[in-house]
Amino acid sequence: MSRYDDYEDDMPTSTLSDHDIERLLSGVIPDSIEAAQLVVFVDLIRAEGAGSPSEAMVAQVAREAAMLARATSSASVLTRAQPPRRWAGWRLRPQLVMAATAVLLFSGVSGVAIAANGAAPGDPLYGIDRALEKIGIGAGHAQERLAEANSLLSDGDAREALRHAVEVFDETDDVSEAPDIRDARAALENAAGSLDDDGATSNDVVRDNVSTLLEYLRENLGEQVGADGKDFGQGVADLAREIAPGQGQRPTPDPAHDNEPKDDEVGGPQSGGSGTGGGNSGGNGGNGAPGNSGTAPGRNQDS
Amino acid sequence: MPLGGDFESALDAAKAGADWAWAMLYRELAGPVTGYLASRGAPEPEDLAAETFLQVARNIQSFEGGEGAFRSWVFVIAHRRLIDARRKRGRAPELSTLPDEGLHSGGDVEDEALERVVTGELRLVLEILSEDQRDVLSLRIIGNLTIEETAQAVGKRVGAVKALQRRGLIALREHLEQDRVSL
Repeated sequence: MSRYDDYEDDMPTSTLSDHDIERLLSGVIPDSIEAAQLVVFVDLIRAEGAGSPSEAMVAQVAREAAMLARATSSASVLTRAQPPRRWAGWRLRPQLVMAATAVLLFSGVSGVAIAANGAAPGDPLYGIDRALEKIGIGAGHAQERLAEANSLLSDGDAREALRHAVEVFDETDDVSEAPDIRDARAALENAAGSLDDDGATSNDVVRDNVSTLLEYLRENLGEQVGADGKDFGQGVADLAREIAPGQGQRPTPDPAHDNEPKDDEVGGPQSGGSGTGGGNSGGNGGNGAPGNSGTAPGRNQDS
Repeated sequence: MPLGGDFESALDAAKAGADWAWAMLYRELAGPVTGYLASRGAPEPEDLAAETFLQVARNIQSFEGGEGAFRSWVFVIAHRRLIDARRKRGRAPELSTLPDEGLHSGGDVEDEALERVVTGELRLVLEILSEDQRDVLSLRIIGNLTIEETAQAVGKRVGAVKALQRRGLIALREHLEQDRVSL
């Protein structure tokens, strides 16, 4: 007996079978009277998707989407043509720290500091940038950490991007000890820790989620953090949990979901479901993701 | 109406940036996506549907899969956009009216008026569903997603999605029996 079967025992008594539910939801008249009574509601929900866009809207969206596709097509060709560079700066870090020290001692700092400040991970001057920040010169700010995180994400490294996002919180001194900020920081660390190398570099769902999180940080940093960071922290934590579902959960339950107390406790990983989905073809292979057999969008978020 | 055999060529052309291919894909999916977003309380469902497709365009180069996979991928992005919109708005989603701005349902004006009265009453019944139940049922019914695809879209386990849809349907049926709603 699976954990899902255990859960079934807690459900209200009903003669609605999985078979009836699948027929009902896929638009086929179900066998049982009980399920057939619900056809009108299913049809009502389905009717909401029955509209069609105006031709003007179609033309506008198609034009902009085609332009974006052409742009990303060119960008992907350029990206493939360049060798990987994201770890170069980190590997050289000890030497760069020494070099920065030597620069400080013998050459003055201003030129190098200016040149290094704002360098992104992977850039030759990035190690110098961080070394100078550690001794208080050209100290990195939250927005700089954020820019670096975006740079890492555009290189395909969602995990390192998240780790940089964690550092953003170290720059928000006024609220860094607030409980919600601490929760948000922990959720981000959990999310980063949940990604392995493969997940960090090949999963578009993860990258999209990380991109959304970075965008949220960019939009809200310094403006909506507020005195206690509550809304900001909770927003970040929610987004982080989307990256790593099931990790970094708050200890207190969400009252909005009190009527569904066991939904997230049911079953094992998504692949453990019985797969009775009806309707369309799916074609997800074994990982339950929307979509892809290879390196494409929608691979399992639990990577 | 699925694109069937035309999908593969449309996808290739869309990746290459052909307007006609994007028009075909958008025409096929804009209705369900807009309907889903509207049913889940998106403030500007048409705009959000358009934003969804622009995000699809940004990531289209890495997409591999068939028409069903593409459809579910689009809904995953739409659902994520919906969550962003809810968060920015900072309040709980509301049940919407049927999407009618820019979308044409066709039919007689009087019939549509009568239909609105009936559907308005039925829609009130749908309010007994929790947000999670409505997310799942809308993705299953409007998006035509499988259980696994729905689980991916909402970030829950397959068992949880099955439980949500079952609980939602049972709640509707029990409401029907209690209130003797006239259908």
